Amino acid sequence: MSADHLLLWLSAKGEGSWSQFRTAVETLHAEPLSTGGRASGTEEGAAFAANSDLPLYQQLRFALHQLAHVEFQSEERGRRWRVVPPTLAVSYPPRAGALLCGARSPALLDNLLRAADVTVKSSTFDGMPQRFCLEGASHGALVACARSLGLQVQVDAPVAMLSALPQVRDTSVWRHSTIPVTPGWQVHRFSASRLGWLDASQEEAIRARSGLFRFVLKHQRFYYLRSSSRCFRVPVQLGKFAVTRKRRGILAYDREGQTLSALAIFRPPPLIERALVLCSGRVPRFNASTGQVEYSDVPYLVALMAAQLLRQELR
Amino acid sequence: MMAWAILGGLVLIAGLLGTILLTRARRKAARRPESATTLESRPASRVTVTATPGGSAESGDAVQSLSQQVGGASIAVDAEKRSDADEEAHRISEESRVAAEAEQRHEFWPAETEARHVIEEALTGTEANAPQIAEVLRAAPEAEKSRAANQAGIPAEAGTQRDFEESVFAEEEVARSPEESTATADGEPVLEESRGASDAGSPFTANDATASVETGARSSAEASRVPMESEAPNEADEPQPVPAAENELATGDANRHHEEHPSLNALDDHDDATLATVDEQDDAADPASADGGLHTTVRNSPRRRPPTYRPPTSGPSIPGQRSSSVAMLSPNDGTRFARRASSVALRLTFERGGFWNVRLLPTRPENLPERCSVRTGGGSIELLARDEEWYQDVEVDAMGTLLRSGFVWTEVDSGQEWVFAAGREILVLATGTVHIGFVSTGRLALGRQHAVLCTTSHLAAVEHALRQADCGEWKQFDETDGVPKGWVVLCGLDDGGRARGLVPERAVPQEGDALDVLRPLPDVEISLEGGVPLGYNSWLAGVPPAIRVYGSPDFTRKVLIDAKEATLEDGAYVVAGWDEVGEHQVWCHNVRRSYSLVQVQQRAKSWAEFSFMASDKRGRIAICGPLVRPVGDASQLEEPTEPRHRFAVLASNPVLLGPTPGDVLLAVPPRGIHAQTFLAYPSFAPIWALPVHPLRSSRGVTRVLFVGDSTVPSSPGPPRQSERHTNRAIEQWWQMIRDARKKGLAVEPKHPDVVALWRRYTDLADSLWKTNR
Repeated sequence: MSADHLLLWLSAKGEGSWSQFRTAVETLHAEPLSTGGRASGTEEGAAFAANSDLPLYQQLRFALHQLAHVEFQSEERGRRWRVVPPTLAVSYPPRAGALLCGARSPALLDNLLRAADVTVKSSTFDGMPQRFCLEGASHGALVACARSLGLQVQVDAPVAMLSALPQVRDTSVWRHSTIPVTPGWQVHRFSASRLGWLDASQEEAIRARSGLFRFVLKHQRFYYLRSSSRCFRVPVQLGKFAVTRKRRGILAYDREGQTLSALAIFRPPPLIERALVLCSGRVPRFNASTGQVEYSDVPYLVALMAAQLLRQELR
Repeated sequence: MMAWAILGGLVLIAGLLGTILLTRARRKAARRPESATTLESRPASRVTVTATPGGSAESGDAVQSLSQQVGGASIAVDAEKRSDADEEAHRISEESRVAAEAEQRHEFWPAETEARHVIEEALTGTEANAPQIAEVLRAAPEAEKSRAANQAGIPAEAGTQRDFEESVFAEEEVARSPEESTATADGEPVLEESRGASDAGSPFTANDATASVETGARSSAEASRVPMESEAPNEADEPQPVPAAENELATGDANRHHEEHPSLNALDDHDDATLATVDEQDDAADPASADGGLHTTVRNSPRRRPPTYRPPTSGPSIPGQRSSSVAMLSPNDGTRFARRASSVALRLTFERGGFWNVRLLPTRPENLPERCSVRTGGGSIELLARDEEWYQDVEVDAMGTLLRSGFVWTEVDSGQEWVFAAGREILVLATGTVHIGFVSTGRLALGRQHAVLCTTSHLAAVEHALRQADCGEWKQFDETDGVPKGWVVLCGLDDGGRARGLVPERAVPQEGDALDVLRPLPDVEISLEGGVPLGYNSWLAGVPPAIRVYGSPDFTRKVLIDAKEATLEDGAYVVAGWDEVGEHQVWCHNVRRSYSLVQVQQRAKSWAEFSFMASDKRGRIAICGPLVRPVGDASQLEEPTEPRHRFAVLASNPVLLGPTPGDVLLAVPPRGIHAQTFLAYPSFAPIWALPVHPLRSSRGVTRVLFVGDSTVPSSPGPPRQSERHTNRAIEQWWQMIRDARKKGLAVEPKHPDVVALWRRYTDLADSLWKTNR
């Protein structure tokens, strides 16, 4: 319930600063996702909690971002957040289903539950607000319902999003930068073969023709991608896929269960991950036995598009 | 003979000369008899009297004259003594006047006035009055009790329970009076002088009315002493030694102040006063600094050690609340300056795996940046703001030792200090703050969840006190559970392994020792918990707060919401209509609280949070949440309102044609995507989908796909962007249709109406080709 209250609070405020978000997480008594290693919540919740040692507010931030409820802006843009307008992510015909995303209020949920021609199913999962799935007699009925409630509509959001995104090696969207030369940084280089970070030096990062480097100074972490002796500052997930050759084993797809899996160290970049999460409306589940993050209810077409954007093969 | 004549002449001359000299001296003495200082400064040996056999009368005169002169000096010395005495009398009367003025400004009660006079006398050096002071101070509590009873309008000799109940009524009034009386001579309020007498007559609190009387007396003493001290340097050029009594008084003031102010900031004062005394002694030894010798709360150098903790003697503090700070006086001009000591709270969280995490939670004073570097005893740490009132919590090594010894952190740039008092061996922490977990608070409060952190040496006494307060069951956690070495956490666990705080259910009388923090007071508090708070006592309608009332059950039986008696459901009070939109009021005992429920309109405006170049290079695609919208150019990213048609394109037929010549789009799949279908966003409703190169495609496989409705082709419309672009688009439109017909591609579906429609398009394409020739 705490994540629900958090989303209601965020929706009422509309937008704000990162510190306000953190304060809201604490003020609204958002409980840790799992405590004591005991089965306090659902299996998914425990798995989700075990997935990350991040603080609670960071876990909630990622969940809200993946579920397309809230957009969090980077430090360059002021470290702010803004709630997406209430939107129905309608699945592509012929399936007549939809997922409620973005801002919500008790009044909106009340109206939704009383709407004609649609059935609303709510599900509770740890680490995320309640999921509201709508099912209608037809595709048109869902759209009409959304219009009557003042909601925006996005048809086939996963495919639409993946169609708009560039491939991970598209340098046109990378941001040029320079390697820091000031002393005091701890430098690591990502090894795609060993699937981990190895110690490196600043000189090595400056001289390298290619590779992904992590610069750490106190709480600051920056990721620099060297490509053809040029330097770019990139999100870490994108950087990992950019320096990793196409190989089997990073991504796997289960056709029967419609589940896409990725090695935990190779989580997809945020927007690709959002497209995968919007297929089910659930945050990814960490499978401790395989060490993989699993995205459920992903159609094959979406999995294939994601794999092609990541330049990886589906196993 | 001749010789005798000469000798006689010489004697005669000498006698004449002596007579002349004596006469002159006598005249001078007669002219200036009052000039004692002149005589005193002139040595007697300089008056030379030569006794001659024939001049005894003159010499006797000279001796008389000399004794007269000495007598004049004596008179002059007496006059000087009288003058000093007058000055002393004037000074004393001036002090009395200042004290009287101070008295007029303050409204003292009779008992306090008497005590003040006695203490003033002690201040002026009459130490013989010490027994009188003690007598007055002994008599003061009774006067305080009777005054509190008078204020509350009840007889002072009421029974114990009634005493307690009525003292709660009287508490507010009693507490207010010392506040009103605690302005210093310069009109500045003395901070936090409120709680000393607030519990007078209550069996649940340590009766500290003596301190209240002392407070009033001390204010007067301060009023009379400060002007004295500020004037002293002007009265003498040489440094004046500080009277030992004043030093003792300064320390005594600090001690009393210390007892009355349980917060860390009060402890600051104590420490300040102690340091000030040391500084003052240093100043006394240093003439150059003697004239700056204010020995009130003045500190010019960084704090060298943390103050010692004293447990609170009055009501509970709100968990996690920032304690107010004590302003200090500028060492140079006595004006207030902005430097204040802040407190550091302690935070306990129960982590996964069953471990306790103990962190320090520094408050964030006003005007301090979001990020600052702080000097600690062994190095420095960086504080990052959590919000406007708190910095993020800090984990430190050797927490157990640090908690015992206390510490002082100093911000590098501004000198801002954070203080954690030393000597705390029992710490009470509570939930219900703006932080997750347990945060240090003043004492146990009825109905709230707490954890207790204590040293192992106090464990037995603490557990006994918790049993007295009916705190239920608890478990001991020691250093194997993450608790600092030498410390124990007492807290409960629920069936799911979550931390469940100790909830005291019984108020316990105070005994005036360190365990009082574990003896809950019967405070009544209306708490609005949960819901979605929006600030300013407003909550989001539909998610109202739970209304809970804490305190002794004797006082919380009746709760009114909107003037209707509320009922208890699941631990919260409800009444019909309590959760409707609008203002509401809750009342219990003598406590009232209001809240309002408001509705908030959702905003429906989307924006371009991310935008990427479209695959056809003809614009950008924006993403906002789940929304994917094409936008024309960068200036339109904020308003993605341009109507476009989302269209699923087959990779084999990526050229889309509309009904109007010029409606043509070569849909390009996303970079890196090799799927059979992809999305395109044409600005027209597509009717036909063609291959990229109709003339080079296979006639047997490739088709002209009918993908739209039966819209017949129309003549070219107005130019869209530029004439040249439109002409080129029109040419592409008819060229694609003519090529497909020339190649003989079949139309799909092969419905007669579709075939007929295709023929109309080819006819228009031919006519446009002819026109163009």
